[in-house]
Amino acid sequence: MSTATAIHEEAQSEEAQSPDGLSGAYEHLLERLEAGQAVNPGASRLVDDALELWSRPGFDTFVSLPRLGFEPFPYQLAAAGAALRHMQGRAVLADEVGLGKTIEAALVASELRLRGLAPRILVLAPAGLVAQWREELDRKFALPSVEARAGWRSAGGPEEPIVLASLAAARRPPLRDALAGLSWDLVVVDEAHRVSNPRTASGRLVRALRSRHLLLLTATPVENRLSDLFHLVSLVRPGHLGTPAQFRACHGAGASAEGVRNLAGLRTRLAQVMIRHRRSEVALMLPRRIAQTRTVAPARCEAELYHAVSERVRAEGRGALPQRMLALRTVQRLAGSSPAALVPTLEKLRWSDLAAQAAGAGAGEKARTLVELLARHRAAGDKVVVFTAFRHTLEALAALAAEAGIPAVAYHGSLARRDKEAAIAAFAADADVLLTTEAAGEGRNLQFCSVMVNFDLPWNPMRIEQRLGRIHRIGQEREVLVTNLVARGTIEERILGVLQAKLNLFELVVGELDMILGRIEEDFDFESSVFDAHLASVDDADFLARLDALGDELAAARTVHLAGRADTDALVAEGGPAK
Amino acid sequence: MRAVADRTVGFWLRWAEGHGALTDGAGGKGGTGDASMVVLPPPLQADLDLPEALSVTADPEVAREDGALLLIPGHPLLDRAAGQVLDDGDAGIAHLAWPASLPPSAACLEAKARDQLGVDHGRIDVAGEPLPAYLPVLRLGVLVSFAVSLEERFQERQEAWVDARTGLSVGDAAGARFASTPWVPGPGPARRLGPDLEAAVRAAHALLDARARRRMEVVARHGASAREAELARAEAYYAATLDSVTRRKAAAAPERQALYEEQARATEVERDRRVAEIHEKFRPRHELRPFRAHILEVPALVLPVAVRRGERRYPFELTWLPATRRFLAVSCPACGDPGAPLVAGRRQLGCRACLA
Repeated sequence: MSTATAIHEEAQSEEAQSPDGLSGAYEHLLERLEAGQAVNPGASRLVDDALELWSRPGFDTFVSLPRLGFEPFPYQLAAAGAALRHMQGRAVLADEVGLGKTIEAALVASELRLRGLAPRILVLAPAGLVAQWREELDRKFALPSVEARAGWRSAGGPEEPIVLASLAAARRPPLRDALAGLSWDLVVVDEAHRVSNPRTASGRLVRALRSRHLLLLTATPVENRLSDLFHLVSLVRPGHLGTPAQFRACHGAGASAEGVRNLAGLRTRLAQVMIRHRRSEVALMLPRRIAQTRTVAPARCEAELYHAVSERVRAEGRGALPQRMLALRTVQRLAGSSPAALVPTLEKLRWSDLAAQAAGAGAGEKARTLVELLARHRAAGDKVVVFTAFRHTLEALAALAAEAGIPAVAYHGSLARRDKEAAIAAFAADADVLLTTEAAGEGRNLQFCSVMVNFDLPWNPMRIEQRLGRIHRIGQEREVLVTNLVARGTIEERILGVLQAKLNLFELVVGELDMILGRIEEDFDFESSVFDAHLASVDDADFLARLDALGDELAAARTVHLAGRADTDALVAEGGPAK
Repeated sequence: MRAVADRTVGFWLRWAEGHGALTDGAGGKGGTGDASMVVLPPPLQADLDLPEALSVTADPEVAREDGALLLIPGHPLLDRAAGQVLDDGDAGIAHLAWPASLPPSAACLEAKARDQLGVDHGRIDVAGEPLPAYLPVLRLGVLVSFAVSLEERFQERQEAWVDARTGLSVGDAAGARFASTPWVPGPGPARRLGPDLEAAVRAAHALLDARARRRMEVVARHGASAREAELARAEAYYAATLDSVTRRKAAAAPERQALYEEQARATEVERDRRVAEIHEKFRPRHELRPFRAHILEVPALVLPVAVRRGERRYPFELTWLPATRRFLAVSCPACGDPGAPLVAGRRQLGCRACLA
């Protein structure tokens, strides 16, 4: 390519007038003209297509836009454009939760990638968000990605997919060393408030990475102290806020936004590296979400089965090896879903007495309640998405719906791509009900439906939020009704109580939950905490007390989260970046 | 998304077909198939390090499930094919169709010539019938790459349309009109006005380069302010660091003085290096890469005229373009200055400068 170009630096103003500069660049074209060769329309079209692929317009034009599987909001494009143009690809993206920082960062990644400026991209995210990143990159941006775990090695070469890694995995050797040993073109850190402290393992990891471009995503760049902000900004632009001593001397070292000296000066500096949009600013409002819980009284045989399984799990769980523990946790969750789901696993565990008990327990009261509920929604003309965590429950529910004459389609992760598309198309067209597992519906447009039923409740609240996000998302125009079906006396009933009472879970904005859970501790795992409490408790009252304590931690984390949000609002001026 | 994806794969398949590959044609025709099959000839297999038969797609899910090669923008195979196509370029001659309407009469053209191309102290008179001819117009396309800073680089596609006899621009509007006029397989019965290809290419290149320079000036302004800001920040940072070293040196014991002096020198060296890096980072450049040179044989009418001043007559030729319904701009017959208003002098026809 370089042989056929005429390069001009601004200092060499004479070169443009020099006809000698033409020879190399134009010779072969001139030869063909002189030979009287006719224009070949096919070759012309090929050249036009090659130009489309090859040319890289300015960052005020998004070359990736025609390839996207969705239409970004203007403020998201503006944020990505500002990060690329004015901030040279090093920025803190600090939009409020739910406004799409992931989209903005992925737009930047996509632009850099398509222009050949970022063959090597790393995304670090909390473990709970890695799958979501993968899905967004794949479905919305058509960008292949790979999750890096311990033992990962860079494939190298220009075709390398975007590397995704959970912060928890990435900060530990050997993955830490593998990531830090490479030179990255772009690193994206999601929930970057977790890396502001340079003394934590996550903070040290990010400081050990070498990257030309760096995007830090956080809705609350000020967590506890003003120094959080200093550390984040210094990561994207070292020296921008001076040395730590200069920063303290200029703005103080307060524990919150209150009492910051020279606030106007700080805001001006921040606007050069940070972009924050607020809901009020972009007028992005989702319709209301209404959550209701149907507590179902189990039949006597169901209650006895649940009790027996819980006792067996509790007895075997104390001191069990990790692998056995995982199986026990699964059995306990299956017991909260349906008797049908329990049977195969109980048989595998050789708990044949309980397997026989489960096989005789029938469909269960919850399933009967669901069928009634679906019939009512059908009569009202509503389409309903029913979520369950388990395939066996899904199959049992599909059989029940068929018996009841309710048109339902089943969707799960094992379906082939074409069957998945056919299922969604059938749901959009004729079927009233979509019965689906957790994995299903990812990236699918389900906004034409506004009723959702959680047939069983995941213990991990992030999973609940992901389910909500399937229909309560941009594009939804109607109020969303969420019905949680729980059997009385189950762990799910208690979890729901805690999440509702302490977190107001179903009214949180999608995205906010992770920020709250992340504040409890770096590797906090709600599901494990619940199971540990179940195993450790001597009876139901003890279990309730333990869950209540866990709930208090959640409530405290929520308070900290809200305070951080207020501090950020006070420090970061509203609007786009400074030019 | 699907349409663009199909176009991407379609491009590569057509390129591969041009190098002897066999394809199922789905991608090339923008079909709705999930993946397209392609069989490569041995030289292409070796060159691209690909198997003889493979399927390609632009859909990541199809690639994942069916094992097809994922060809999306940025893929080295696409970049390589695109680079090669652009290096080969697109050159040739094409003939534009004559307009279906009747050509204007000599009298009508005379009136238009007087209206459009006034001559000081003279009058344009028609001196014969308009003759059909082909005017060679050079269409030169280049990709201009701008680098305002290390981070900010972009490319723009630019075209120039020039009269291949004189090198004078025919204007972008006329170029757009020519681009939308259908082509015919060969020339009709008309005189061909001979081009000066090399001079025309030079003239078109100069036009495009001048345009790129003007564009560069605009975009460089942004780079300059970013450069000044970065320089100021770096200088403030190093000034503070040096100040701190100086203060610590003043309070330090004599045996530590040399240490601080060394630290200050190292800081100054680092500062100078950093400042040089910033200047390098923001050094603006631009680059022209030609990808197209077409000679379009454009239907024209050559009108013999005479410019009259009293009894004096200066014979002249004007070129009427039916496609744009305008005469081509004329250059001074004496000095060749393009577009200068003509003056009928007592002894010659020329521009004001020639007659001064």
